[in-house]
Amino acid sequence: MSSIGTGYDLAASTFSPDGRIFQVEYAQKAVDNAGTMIAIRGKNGVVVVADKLISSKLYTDNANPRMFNVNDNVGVAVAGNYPDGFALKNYAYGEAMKWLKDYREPMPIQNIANSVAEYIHIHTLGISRPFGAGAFFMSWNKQTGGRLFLVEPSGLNYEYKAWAVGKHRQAAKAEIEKLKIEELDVNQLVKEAARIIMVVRDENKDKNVQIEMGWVGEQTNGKYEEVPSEVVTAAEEWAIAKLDEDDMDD
Amino acid sequence: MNAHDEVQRTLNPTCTGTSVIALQYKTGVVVLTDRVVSYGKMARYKNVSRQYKVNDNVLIAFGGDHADFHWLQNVIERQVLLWKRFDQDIGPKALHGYLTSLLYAKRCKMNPVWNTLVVAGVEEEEKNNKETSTPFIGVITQKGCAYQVKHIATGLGAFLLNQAVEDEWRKKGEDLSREEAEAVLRKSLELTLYHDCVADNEFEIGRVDATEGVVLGKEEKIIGDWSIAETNCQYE
Repeated sequence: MSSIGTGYDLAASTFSPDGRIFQVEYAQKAVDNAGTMIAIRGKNGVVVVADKLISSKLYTDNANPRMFNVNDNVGVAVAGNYPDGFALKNYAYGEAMKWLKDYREPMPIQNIANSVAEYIHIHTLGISRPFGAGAFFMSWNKQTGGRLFLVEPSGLNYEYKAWAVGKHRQAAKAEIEKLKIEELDVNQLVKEAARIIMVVRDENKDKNVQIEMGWVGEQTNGKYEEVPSEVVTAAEEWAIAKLDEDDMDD
Repeated sequence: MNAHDEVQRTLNPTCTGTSVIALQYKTGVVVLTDRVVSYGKMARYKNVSRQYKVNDNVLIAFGGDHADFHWLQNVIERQVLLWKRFDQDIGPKALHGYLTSLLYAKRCKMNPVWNTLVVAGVEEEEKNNKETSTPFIGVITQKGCAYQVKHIATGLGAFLLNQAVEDEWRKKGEDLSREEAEAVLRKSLELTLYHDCVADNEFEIGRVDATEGVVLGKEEKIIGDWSIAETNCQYE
């Protein structure tokens, strides 16, 4: 590891001779090594699923959630360094509050994602440490349909049809591409997403993990909500059955 | 800012609403407001509500300046969002307390919010336990003076109606049914209509009920009995 940065990785304020900022790339690694998180935009909503490592049995149920409301309509799911993600969520929250004060209407998702991206970007300029977390933003309404954004530790902010971050992101993205996601309804998405999370898991390493889900769509009336635990359990059961079935075929 | 600097402030409200009448019944609260906005004594706008649904458990009605209330509405909206951040819905008691502090602080800065507020609601915890359920009515004046009551009439109604409403309420007390409570409100509105020149005959009755939550009222109208007017010697 000692040869990686060769002196150009000591601060985010320094470019390497070939134009890279190593500190920002290291921050990205904090997201890349975190539990897998996938978000998919379907026919009538957006679903986000995280594979959470439960590092102790002493935690209460769903301690340290990764998914939150920014306002009623927009949800945020953070991946990577937990306190960094939490701070991002709080920043988004403060921005939404300011917007509500100034314009007297809920902050649109695009503006939320943009302002968080700008905030993250400022932290890549070398003034302080970059964020070791990324954030998915999702919403749904009748006019625009589902929308999904990901803001990365570099400040990069793209809109996606579906995306995956974390440990098994490559495998997860390959799985998502096999689906016709535009045709899937939110209830099907929940099942497929649970299946993908389970299929990409490394059975030897990924133990004591738990699935956390959030959704927004027509069925939640455009409100972002945590997926009820019965629905999560049902999706997991469906996924296990489906995976067993696939094994039989092989 | 220097303490001796001159400051110009709004000294009078402009577009206003008049009385609010609210009454507790067995399982909830009914609130009546008329639907006119007065500009001085002119009935400037019609069909404007003076009731605001905060969430499923809380309803606010106001008298006084409409613009000030619109500002308050935004303050309340943000407070509701803040509570949701901690997975909670603000209850009537908490909101009443918050607004009391806010209105008092504003008047101490010599810049009062020109409203009389009536916060009506049912606490979420009490909703599920009908035995201990006590519907809430809290009043706040523009000076931040606040109190809880079982029945209230504000504005000119405070001079005209409190006794009448109280008499009716005492007949049944806590056992008053919703229909009876609404009848009292309708009668009260008729009385303000005769005596308060800025009161209107178009009104709405909103309610917060332990089982139904907040139900906003529909527009209603009364005519009243004007035969007595002919005995008034100035009546043309």
